[in-house]
Amino acid sequence: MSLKPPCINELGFDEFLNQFDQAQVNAWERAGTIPRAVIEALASTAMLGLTVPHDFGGRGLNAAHYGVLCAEVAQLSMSLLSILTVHTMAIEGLQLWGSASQKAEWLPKLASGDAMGAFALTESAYGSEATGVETTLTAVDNGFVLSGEKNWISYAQCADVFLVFAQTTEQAGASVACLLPASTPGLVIEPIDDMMGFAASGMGRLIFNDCPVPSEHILGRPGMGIPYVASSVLDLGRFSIAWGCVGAMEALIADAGTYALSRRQYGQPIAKHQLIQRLLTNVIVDHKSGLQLCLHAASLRDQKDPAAAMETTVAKYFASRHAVAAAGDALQIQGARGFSKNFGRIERLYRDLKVTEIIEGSNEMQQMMIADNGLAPYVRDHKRRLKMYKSDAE
Amino acid sequence: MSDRDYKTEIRAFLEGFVASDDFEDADDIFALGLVSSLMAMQLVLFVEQRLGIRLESEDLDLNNFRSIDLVNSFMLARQI
Repeated sequence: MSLKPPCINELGFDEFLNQFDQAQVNAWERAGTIPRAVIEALASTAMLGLTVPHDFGGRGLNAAHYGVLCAEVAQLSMSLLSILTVHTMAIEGLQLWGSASQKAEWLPKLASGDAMGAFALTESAYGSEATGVETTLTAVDNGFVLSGEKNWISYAQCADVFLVFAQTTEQAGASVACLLPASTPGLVIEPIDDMMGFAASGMGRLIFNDCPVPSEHILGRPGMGIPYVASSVLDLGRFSIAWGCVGAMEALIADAGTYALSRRQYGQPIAKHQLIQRLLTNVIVDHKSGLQLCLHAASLRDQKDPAAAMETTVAKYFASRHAVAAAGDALQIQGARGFSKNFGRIERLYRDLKVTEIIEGSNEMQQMMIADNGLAPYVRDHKRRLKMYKSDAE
Repeated sequence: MSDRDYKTEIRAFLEGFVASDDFEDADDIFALGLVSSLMAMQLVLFVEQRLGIRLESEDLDLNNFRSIDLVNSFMLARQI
């Protein structure tokens, strides 16, 4: 039985993934980003515009297809998953909130990979409290100017256009989203190269020195930036990361399991030792559980069910948490070899996966959302049963 | 415009996400902390599905979605 959903066969990107080995992926890590030629190779498989409608040059496929793509890419490189995620987040922002002319201008370029997108929300002082961002957008005679800074922006070093979130200075508390090409005068991009994981994601800091923003680059209206545009784009980001964690767990099981079957101690493969079997059992069950949560979220997304956002949050929370644990277990199984940078994927995944508990809304924020809005069905069912029991008794 | 009322449907929808029964049709569900910021998007999807329309940027004033009464008024104004 294949672990992969049937739609994997429709994607046809094995050829892309199989052309890279771990030595190349490690070289990307040392370089701090993934060569544009690799991104172009990914673009040539039409994977960068998987969910973009045919009218805009995309493949028009559904959420499950995109999820499977994320899972497969994560097995090769979590940094590449990061780039795919922020690029698709920019696409999602345009698809949901862009005007007809904005879609016509940007979606074909983003779908083909002629332009790469990125998402710029986080600042040094504001992360989880997104409504507090201090970057400002101020109206001037011929449009707007953007001032401030963004920090820890994935793919900042290489992206062609950023989806940036700011406060308007005209209306207190009104956040706004805008598109900012990397070539905009006044935009300074500083590389960040000291991160523990996602080392090849081209992370950077953006500094906006009164960058001119024409009014046709504003997405939606003032006031919509955080509650609508950022919320919906982060929801897509969580979906990508949840699937990426499921893919990473598959890689961890494959590597640790293969090793456990070949490594012999006390006259038998360590895979036959009960304490190793416990570790293998945990990661296998967690992988299967995470996959089902992701498939459920994908199904709801494709039906445009309002419950999709909550179930995506549940999937991201579960998959990231258990992927981090799985990386620890897989490394434990491989022992000293797992601790090595040159033995396989586990050491890198161990570092990379930690950040999945932080990005696209920290897991503590996910817990607050799940606790606030996930309890209702349980409580209501319980109350309903109690009411029925009471009326029967009477 | 018909004189139908969506309040019961809106409340039933919200009750899928809000454990408390203790809120009135006029209460600001965001200000009371009954729902997270995700609910703005979920309410948009609910309205779109229920009315069979696609809401555009100009429709999405958060103030249209703050209470059952306000969502109801918005749906009555936008129903075809």
